[in-house]
Amino acid sequence: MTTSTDPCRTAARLLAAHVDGELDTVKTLEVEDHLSECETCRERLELDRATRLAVKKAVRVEAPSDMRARMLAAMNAESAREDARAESAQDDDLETEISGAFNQAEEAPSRGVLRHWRTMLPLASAAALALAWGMASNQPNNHGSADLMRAGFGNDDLLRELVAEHSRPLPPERTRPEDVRGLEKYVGVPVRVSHFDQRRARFVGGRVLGVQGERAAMLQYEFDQGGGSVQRVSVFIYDPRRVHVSGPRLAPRAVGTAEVRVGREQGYSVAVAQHGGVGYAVASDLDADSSAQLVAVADQ
Amino acid sequence: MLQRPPGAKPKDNDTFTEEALSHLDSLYGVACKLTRNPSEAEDLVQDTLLKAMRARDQFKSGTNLKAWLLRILTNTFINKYRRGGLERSVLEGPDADPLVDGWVSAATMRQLRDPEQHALLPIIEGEVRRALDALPADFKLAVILCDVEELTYEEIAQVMGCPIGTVMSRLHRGRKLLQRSLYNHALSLGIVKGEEMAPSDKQSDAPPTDLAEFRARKRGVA
Repeated sequence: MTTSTDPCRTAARLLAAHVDGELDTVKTLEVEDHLSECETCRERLELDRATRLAVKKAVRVEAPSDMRARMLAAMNAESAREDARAESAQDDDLETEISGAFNQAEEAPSRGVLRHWRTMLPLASAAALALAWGMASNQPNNHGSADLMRAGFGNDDLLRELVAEHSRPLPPERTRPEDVRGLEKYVGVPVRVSHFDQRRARFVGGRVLGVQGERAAMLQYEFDQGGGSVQRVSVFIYDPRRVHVSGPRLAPRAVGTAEVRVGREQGYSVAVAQHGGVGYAVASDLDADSSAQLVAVADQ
Repeated sequence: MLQRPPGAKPKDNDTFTEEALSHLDSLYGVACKLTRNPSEAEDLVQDTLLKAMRARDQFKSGTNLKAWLLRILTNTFINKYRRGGLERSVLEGPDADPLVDGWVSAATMRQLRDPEQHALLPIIEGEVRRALDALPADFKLAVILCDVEELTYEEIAQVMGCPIGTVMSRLHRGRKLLQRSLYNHALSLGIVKGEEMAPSDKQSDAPPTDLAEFRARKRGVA
């Protein structure tokens, strides 16, 4: 159905710009002229407007209430640091970084980013715990899974261990979602119940596990598959600096913006990811795709 | 701190910090949509604010501070998370047909934006949110910068580092993809009548990555 006449075609090119208020007077008159005699284009315009409004409603989020204070602290620390070195400041690297940031082709050096974390370290004790986690994740020696890969951990034993824990789970120590946070002190990273698809996922309980001399939290879920059938999903949460879940059996894959590694082990699917310096591994009865999707949003 | 070094500008600093933080919700909102992860979003916003502070002399007063901050945020995101730049969509091309919406009648479009049963509106709005998440990153960013942050095309072009024509094409494509998802969803709910809308003829050979991925996600996990 692309038999629209030429005036519509011309107007359609301008409609969006018209809605966005980007047309000059002459073009605006042209479009309005056409709109006055074309119902289809009028509806097109209204649909565009409605879509805009819906997007606006859908996206509006407010920053967490305590985030402003954290940002202010970080900015003040930066400013204090600048004051301290103002006389000797040789900021030519900054110049290139920022102007480089405006040039898509150029890569900003990461040094500036790392530097501010170091500046922030003394503030950690005063700042919210959540911020401290953010910093840990940005330590120079802990930058994502690439380092783990480089370190050459082929940790198939650990993979088998996690799958064994999933296939023959110990009874949970805590069954209330809010109690699970308390596992943090044993594991060393924040432990929270993931918000998987609410209609299908049910949180069963959580416990601490010893894995290869380190610890991980294990949270168990059941996914309703309809018709009374239930499939189990275990989410392991750990400090990725201590527990390295990797190996040749896990193939990298991008899910949304998350980097996930996925594989199968003894008939179960396994998927691993890191979010904000916390390691997550999913072992499940579901297929590998589903496990990958789950681990990609395990921190949410 | 009795004597400030001559280079320090305490008052300017405070003003800048204050003004930058007044855009915190916008920065965080865009960061959330880009990273799809609240804690990464916060890291991204913090990186952005600190970079902005260190470069505040380069900000031209009288221009849009929010646009400038969003530009730093976008570039920081690309540099940190997307070494190769934002993903390009297979659907993007110079011969974008401006009439991909030639598929529905005026009456159907009216039903879509103003369904007879108003109770259905929240469903449609929820669908917009899901469809937006499923858009390729540069379409999504263009749509958000325009519809939510209300930047001008020129400002969006600066933020995204591309010509204005590209901004318009991304906006157009993004919105059409949204409307197509919306239409198909409304169809499946029986809000409108008609046939399922596949990607338009011209692109029928290209895989409908966005929709397919989007539906797969809907079937799988939220």
